[in-house]
Amino acid sequence: MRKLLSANFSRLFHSKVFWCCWAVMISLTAIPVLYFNRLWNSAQVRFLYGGDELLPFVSAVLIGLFLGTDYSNRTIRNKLVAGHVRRDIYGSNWVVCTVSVLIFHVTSLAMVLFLEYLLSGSFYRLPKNLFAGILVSTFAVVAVSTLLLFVSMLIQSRAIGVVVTIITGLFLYGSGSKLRGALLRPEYISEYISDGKGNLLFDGNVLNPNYVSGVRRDIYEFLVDIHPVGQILQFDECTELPRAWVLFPVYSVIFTIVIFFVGYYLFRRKDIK
Amino acid sequence: MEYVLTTDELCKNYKYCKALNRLSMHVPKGAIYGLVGRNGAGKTTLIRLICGLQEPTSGEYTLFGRKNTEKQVVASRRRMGAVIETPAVYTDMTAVENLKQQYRILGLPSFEGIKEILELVGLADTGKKKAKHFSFGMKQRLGIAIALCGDPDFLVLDEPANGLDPQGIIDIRELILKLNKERQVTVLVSSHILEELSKFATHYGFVDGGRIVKELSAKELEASCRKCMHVEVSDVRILARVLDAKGLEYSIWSENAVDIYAQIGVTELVGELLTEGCELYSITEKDESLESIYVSLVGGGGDA
Amino acid sequence: MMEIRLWVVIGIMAVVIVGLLIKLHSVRKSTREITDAFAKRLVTDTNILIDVAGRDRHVRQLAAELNVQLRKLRELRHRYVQGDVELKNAVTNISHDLRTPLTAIQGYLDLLCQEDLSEDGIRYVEMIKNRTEHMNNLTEELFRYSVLLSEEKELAKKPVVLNAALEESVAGFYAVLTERKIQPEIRMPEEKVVRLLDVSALSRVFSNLLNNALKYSDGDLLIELTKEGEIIFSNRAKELDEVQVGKLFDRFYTVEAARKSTGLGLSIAKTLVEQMEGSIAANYEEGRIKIIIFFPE
Repeated sequence: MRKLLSANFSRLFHSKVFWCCWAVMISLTAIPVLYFNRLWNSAQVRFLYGGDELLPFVSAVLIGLFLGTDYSNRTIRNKLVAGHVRRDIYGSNWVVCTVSVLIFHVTSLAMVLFLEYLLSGSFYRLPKNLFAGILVSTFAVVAVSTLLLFVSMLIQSRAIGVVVTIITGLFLYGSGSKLRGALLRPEYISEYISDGKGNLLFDGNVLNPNYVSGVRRDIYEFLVDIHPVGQILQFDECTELPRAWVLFPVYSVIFTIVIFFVGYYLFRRKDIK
Repeated sequence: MEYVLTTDELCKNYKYCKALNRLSMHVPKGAIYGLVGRNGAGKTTLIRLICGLQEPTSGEYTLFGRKNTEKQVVASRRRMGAVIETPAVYTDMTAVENLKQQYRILGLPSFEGIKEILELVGLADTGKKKAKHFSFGMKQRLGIAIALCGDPDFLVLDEPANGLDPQGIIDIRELILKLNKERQVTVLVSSHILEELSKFATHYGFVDGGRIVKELSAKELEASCRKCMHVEVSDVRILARVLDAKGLEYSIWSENAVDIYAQIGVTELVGELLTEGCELYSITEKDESLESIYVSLVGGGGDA
Repeated sequence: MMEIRLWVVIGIMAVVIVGLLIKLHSVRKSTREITDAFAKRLVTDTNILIDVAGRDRHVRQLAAELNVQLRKLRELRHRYVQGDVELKNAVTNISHDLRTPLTAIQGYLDLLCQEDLSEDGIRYVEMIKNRTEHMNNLTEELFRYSVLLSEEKELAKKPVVLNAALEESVAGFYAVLTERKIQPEIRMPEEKVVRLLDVSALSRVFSNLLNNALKYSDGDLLIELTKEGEIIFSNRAKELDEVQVGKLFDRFYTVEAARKSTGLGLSIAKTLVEQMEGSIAANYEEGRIKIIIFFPE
């Protein structure tokens, strides 16, 4: 497998796609921080890192294009004829994808924290919260990359593969934020009535019909805990840690392992053209 | 007799068709083996199986003495190089970078030899041109160069002459002959043009309907070409009468020309023709054309 | 604060140690791979060179240097094989080309015989005829030898009873042997010794060896068959010595004492025996030459 890793990494670091994606990631992460700083004169970053919503897309583009090239150029044949087994091809591709996604993740995190420190002199979060956030998001990001790898390796065409990975990225982000959004709805809404003189008088609290409760809430809470993007979003805007956050990396690891092996077994039995 | 590749009742079923149907073949060491068959007969499927791209539905094959089910077949694969269908090259890399990539995949410890390979296939002066700007012939050569990176003992080429101009076809043929003679590389070439293969193949395997219909060496093929005598006479009907009387097989080409598919006593024939009053203009010996052998073994025109 | 710093230092050291251990393991594995690969490349008739999986610069350089040497070795091997093939083709062609003029010469000699010649003339023509026939035989042997070497004919192996085969060959030669006053003695075991061999090739081998005995023997010939599958032809030959016997199987080596021989007979026998997966050797002890053929089961 080391031979394939060497070949893959050399192709990765020579490819324009990788550097473009990385540049996009970094800049689109830094820009909101600078903008908010301009706006509110404080770079206190309330989001875990400015680019969490970007990562699924940027990774999808990179992984789709990078792995898809092996299919569209049919160069995966060269690897198979040279004698490499499916396990090594899948494994080395996983390593390269995960490493590149981690590079994006770590550098954009570092960029945000650096800017925050530079502009505000301190961090918004307590060290413990920050550490927890970084840990959870790292594992979550690995899970995302594994899922994108799964999609990419099983679609034998670069064009279709990129489209599907981007859709997967969209879906990941969309479903994650929707779940979280639903859970954030308050239980009570304050009602106000006008007293005719232009003042609003408080009328009491009313039950929010959109509030998610009961069994549905339990299910949503569970889903948002295992969902990689859901996990990351839970660290936004929070001054205290989400409950049971220690389990989040565990969920991510399980998610990663399951997706990895399902993808591997499917890939192994695939007929390559 | 040492065999580089033998297959034993290989079967491959796709969803709606049986691509290979108990195919058994033997490629001797040092041979240039021509795999001949119509489009769709199963040549490319066979090559895909041998190269490890796909698993056979049943049956097995042996590469350099190792079965495809053994783990050590990987070592045998290392001794192979293949160009399957379209050449597999990275289009946004130059020729040199493509070869370097293959060197890394093979794990070769240095980039020594890249220049020589490019010179061998005729791509020595492409410089910084990316592969997407190559002509089709150049891409084919690059594909072969990539296959040659690991110094293979067994080279598999799937229709290498496809889409090449006449000069390109000659170049490929020369390259194959050179590799076979100078480096003792066994070559498996698939094609549907028997004429082209006959110029350099030492063994043939005729494929039809997913099986090998016949396997023979070049010498045997030549021997099985039916020899015939092409005779030109003044009156074909008299000749026909004479031949019928002898019970000999023949076919009439025109008013004056007849092909006789048998050994005849020339003196006797001339004597009889003279008595009947027919003049003999010329006799030439001809070989049955390769096309007709091909057709008789593999069936009529059109795709499978 | 101190504690954290201590843990950080320990952490870094642990990482470094683990990293070094991994590297050490990797280098060891790579060198073992190179050793195996090198050994295999030397023995197998292959074009491929050594490849390594590790990234260590020095290990790769070692492999690259070994590859340079392997490349040279490979070139030499290729040139040898090519040259050998060309030589064999040349020999076949030459022996083929010699036939044409020889046939013409013999034809005209026959005509000459029918002319009126003086006594001396008749004697001269006889001598020329003799020599021409000898040359013909030489060319035939040469041609057959080159065909034998260049064509990989499949030998038709059947179970052959060595006892019977040997007896048959000797019986065929009996008349010639007694004419030369050589008394053959045969020793064979009771049980039948059977091996998978090609019948015609075997009889060729035996007749070549018997011919050899005819040429070199002082007057005796002992033929032994052992139940392990060894066939030994031995006879007294005081004109030979150890050095000559060692070279007997070389192509075209002819001992001075023998007349009318090409020296190819024994080389042909050797090639045939080896094609049937047997072995043949000759030695010379106390004035006796012994040729030993062995066919394993």
